Amino acid sequence: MNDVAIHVEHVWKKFRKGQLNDRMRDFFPLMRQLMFGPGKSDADLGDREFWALRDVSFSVKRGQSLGVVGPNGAGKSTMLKMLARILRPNRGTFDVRGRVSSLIEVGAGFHHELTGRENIYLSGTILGMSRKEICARERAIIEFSEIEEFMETPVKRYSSGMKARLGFSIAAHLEPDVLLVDEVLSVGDVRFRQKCLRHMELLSQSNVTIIFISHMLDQVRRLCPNTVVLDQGKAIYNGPTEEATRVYLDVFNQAPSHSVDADDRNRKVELRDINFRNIAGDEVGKWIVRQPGMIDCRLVIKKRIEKPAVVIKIFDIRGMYLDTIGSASGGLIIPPEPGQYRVRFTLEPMPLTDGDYAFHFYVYDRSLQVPCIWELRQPRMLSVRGGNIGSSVVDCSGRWELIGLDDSSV
Amino acid sequence: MDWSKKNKRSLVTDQKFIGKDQVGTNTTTAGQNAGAPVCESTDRGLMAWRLLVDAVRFRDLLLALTYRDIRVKYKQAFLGIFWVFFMPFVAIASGIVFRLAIWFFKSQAGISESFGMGQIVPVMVKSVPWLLFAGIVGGSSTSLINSMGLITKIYFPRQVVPFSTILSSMFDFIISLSGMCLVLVLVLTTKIVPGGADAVNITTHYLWLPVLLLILVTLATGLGLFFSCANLFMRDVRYLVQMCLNYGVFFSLVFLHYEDFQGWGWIFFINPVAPILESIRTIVTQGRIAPDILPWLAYSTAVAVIVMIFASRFFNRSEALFAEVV
Repeated sequence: MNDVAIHVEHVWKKFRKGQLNDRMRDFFPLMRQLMFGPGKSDADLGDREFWALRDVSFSVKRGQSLGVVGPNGAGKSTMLKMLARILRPNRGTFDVRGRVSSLIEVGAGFHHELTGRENIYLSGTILGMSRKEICARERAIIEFSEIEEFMETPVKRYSSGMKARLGFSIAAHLEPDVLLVDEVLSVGDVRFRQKCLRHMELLSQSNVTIIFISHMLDQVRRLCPNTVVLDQGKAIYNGPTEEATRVYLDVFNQAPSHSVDADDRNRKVELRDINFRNIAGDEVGKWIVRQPGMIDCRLVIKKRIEKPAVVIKIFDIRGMYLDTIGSASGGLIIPPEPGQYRVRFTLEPMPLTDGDYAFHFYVYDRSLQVPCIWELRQPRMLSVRGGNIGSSVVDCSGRWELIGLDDSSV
Repeated sequence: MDWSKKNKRSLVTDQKFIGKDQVGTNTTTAGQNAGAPVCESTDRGLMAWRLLVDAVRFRDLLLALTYRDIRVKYKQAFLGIFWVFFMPFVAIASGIVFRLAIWFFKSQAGISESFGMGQIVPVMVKSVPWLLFAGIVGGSSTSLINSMGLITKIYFPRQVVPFSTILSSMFDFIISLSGMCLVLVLVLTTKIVPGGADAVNITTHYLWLPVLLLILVTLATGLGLFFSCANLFMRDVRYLVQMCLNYGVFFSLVFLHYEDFQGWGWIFFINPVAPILESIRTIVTQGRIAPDILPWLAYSTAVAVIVMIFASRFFNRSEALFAEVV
């Protein structure tokens, strides 16, 4: 057990919906709880309460990094706040060994009236450094943040990027045994983000245990060999990150699809049985880099549509719009009569690089001037694998040739 | 028994968090962790001491927050640090107006005495400690709410927050106290205000003054601790405290003296602040604590200690809930 840094066992945590303590009838139960400790009802679900975490267990070895992913409201932050001892579990136990630093919000200890330098000391002591330690690292912190010229400026005059830079720089110099990171790398510009990620990789190599929450799957894959997937408070998966990514994306794929029309009877058209295939025609959960992929779907037309068209919009996992593929602009003419049409789109050559992508599906009537007549409410997620993780956005392949030799006498 | 012994100022080392395991097993209690030492029946009385010791252990944090409070209070204000003198000055001035009115009615009734330092000094020596008391109670009672952002984001011993506002109030007090002493010495030596001859009576009993201040600070700290966390659960407390501090001036005998009420002055001593302030006044002006105040002073001391013990327990119990209820 000595090499286990974090051990979480059957942890349950409940929260309350609505306002707390805003009426007299809440007063006496509260008093009882405060004077005599939590009663028997503490471990049960009461009126207007719900479980934010249900029976979550996992453990992390010293020096390992664990990713935590899940949709919004899955309980990721609750989990982290509990490990940071900000919240207490209602049931279950957990054990964290070593000095813990939590990065739940960058710059949480800042006071906006104080200058950058004063805030280094304030925030640093709040995060758990002693004055001496900060003195020793002040230089490094300022250099890391790259905003030395604003050190004597009150933080209230900082841009949000500058605040984030300073906040992360302080936290990065904590030298903890366990670092809890909650979605803080989404701040700052690309270069600073890369710098932070590199710094975390270094920490991880120097035997710091990191719990890393992020929606950016490429970051999680880069940093954490293992990942826990949370959904509605439950840990639905705990294991290698590669598999966890698939489980996480599946959570979205299972969401029901709906048409734009609220009324089902008016629904003229629908897209069914959307699936991704490899070039051999087998249904797959991921595509391989540089190998063509296919998307099959069934277009069900119930009432006549003049010019039906299937449109697919591709976004990457960060939400960046990549491209739109339309059947009409691709030259496909789908008959207007009611019927079921099986449509296939083949992506060749494959431009997508290693990463995770969201495919949004729409049906348009090109004869109408309306946006779309049907859309899939939740995008379908697909992974592409085989290259370097998160290193490139597009796959630029081409030809190299030597086109001549100039006689150089230089 | 807890982590803090191993590593003095690192936030957390080796923590074990025990939640409630199953329904019906009442032996473990949820909401206790190493940072807030487990409250067992054997060490209830020591809780106040524990809170203090933990706060001292985190002295870097305590001082950083105190520094922040002091810096921020007078930043971007034209008068800056002079507000420290300005507030007691206004308080003393209103006290003088009060005494002047009483003196006026007395002379109407035929009791003739001259108005001078004899009336002003008592008001001075009671106003400044009263401002300390009000500063501690008022400041610390809103301190936890004001640092909601910290409490929900970072773990540290929560008592550091009210304690730091207490320290910054004491900083203000020391500055205004030295200002007041300076003014007193100047006025009494230059005799620009009449009646200074028997206004101050310096004796060895002056050594009681720090003890009296300690009792006052203990009482204020206990109330501040209690109200600071009660405020998180019920916002009503904020208004209650503000109201009590606004009008408490009259019920704590800051401008009035118990002799003003003939035989009925003792009723005010039910308010534990009043005996402390009256003791301070009688020491300064008469050179000793008036004997009829002494039992009431003992009562105040007892109240201060009980409030402190109770408030620490309350604080410790509710500490784990702070992040959820704010």
